Amino acid sequence: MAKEVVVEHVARVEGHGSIKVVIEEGKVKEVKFEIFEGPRFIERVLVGRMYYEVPDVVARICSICPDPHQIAAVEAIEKAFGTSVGWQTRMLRELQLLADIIASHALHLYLLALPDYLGYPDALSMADKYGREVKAGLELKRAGNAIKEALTGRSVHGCTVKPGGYTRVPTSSELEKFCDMLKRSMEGAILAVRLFSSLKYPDFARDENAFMAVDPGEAYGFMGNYILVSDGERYPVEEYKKLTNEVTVPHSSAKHSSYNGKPFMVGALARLLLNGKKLKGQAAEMLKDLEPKLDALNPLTNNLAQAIETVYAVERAIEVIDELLDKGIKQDVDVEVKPKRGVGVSAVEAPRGVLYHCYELDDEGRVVKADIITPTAQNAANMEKYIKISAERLLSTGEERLKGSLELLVRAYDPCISCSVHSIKVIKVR
Amino acid sequence: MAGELAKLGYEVVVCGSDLSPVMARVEEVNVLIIVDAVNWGAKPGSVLTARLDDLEEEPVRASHSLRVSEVIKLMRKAFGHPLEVYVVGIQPERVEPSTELSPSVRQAVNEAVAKVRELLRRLQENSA
Repeated sequence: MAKEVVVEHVARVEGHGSIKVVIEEGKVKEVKFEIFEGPRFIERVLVGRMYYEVPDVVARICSICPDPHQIAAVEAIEKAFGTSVGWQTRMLRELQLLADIIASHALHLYLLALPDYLGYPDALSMADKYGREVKAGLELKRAGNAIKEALTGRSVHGCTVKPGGYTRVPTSSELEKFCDMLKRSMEGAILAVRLFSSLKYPDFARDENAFMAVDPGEAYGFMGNYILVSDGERYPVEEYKKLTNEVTVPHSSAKHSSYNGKPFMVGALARLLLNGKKLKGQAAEMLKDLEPKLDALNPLTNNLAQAIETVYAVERAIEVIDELLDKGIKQDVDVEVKPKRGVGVSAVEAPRGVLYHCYELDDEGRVVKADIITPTAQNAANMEKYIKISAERLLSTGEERLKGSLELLVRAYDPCISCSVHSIKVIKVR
Repeated sequence: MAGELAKLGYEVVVCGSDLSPVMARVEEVNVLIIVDAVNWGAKPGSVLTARLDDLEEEPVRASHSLRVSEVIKLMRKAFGHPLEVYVVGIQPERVEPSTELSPSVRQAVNEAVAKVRELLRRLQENSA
């Protein structure tokens, strides 16, 4: 006889999916991280479109992280054409990624993850007692959004990002204003580290894990031409298919990724574990103090990694703005883009991990083929692995604790692009 | 609609499915009008004008499960604004991926723009 327990609308994640735990004779027989979200065929929509339309289309993939999609797209297209952009454009792209990290991590940490640990169903319910924390999260998000808006015309689905540069760049006075906003919001970033380092992370999910992150070079960052793997290997981004090995699975509309036959994790925890030594400033100091708490075996500590990374992002964004102001922001620095037949691959770090874009373009710059692999899709198999481990360990604790713990686990990955949990079903087969 | 309203000189913030961009200038905002598709079971193309506080929102999640009413309440708690929030919504004919508006919704755009203008005029008269 089967028993089904369903938690409808798991809160604070995006998308439609479910976790199914099948228990037989007192043991976990099977676990499925089911994703029902309908495919949106963005890659197919791009085919036949001109190269300059691509960043506007891919921005629509996600309302939380349109910026890494746009930057990954223009970087890949420029590689295909052999185009090199100048210093200012590279700095503005870095600033755009930093702003997106700030806005996204602030949302996740303060408004989505924190209620779990403080014992509230959502951010609104905790706002009376934890008003300072809610305001800090909103202030951080506001700073990130404001920069995104100035750089891309809108804070969501921006429209100024093009291969070769930006159709509009912010003025010096705008940049000065952002510097002030960022300095004010730093308090919220530091508070996030204090909060998330003081939490006791449950250890029900602890197990061996593998990680991947973009190799940013000498300094911490979110762009690079190589991928670092926790086994010590380093691959050019052009070999992304060797790293992801995507396969379709019947229970999910997101493909599953594996490396050497095993699932792996991408995201803030992966970045800090692989590149943390490259941090500078307050974030480096914090990482030094908190390294023992950043547990490679426990994906729940991804939240602490996000908090430390928020401090880095605020510090670095201020630095980038200062450098831009020192050199003087110029309004017309776009480079000429000359379309030619070719293939370009790029990888950038989105808030949730490595994001790959690959484009094949024809002589006129029309898209012949597009391939986009998002971090949540890469994490899907890893989440499923940890759901199984956790379910096995929590089986005796009762259904309610099991369901709550699995939600907590999935939420720690900060899943996005509508690839997440909608409901949890525990089926008992006796 | 955003384009039509911007042409008339209104300050329009394009939010997609994430209302948080409104926060950029929230302290300056006494009255916020949310313009969007609203599914309240009416005839496709019908236009609704209502105070947000008078609407009961379905527990359908926006990005990362923050509903419009939740985001507004959070902003009010954190920043004390926006004071008043109205919704001008068009009943969609269908809710599915598409690059075009359905004919009934397209025809309702002008009416919805007129409703926004009427609402603003009424609010200005009341505050005078």
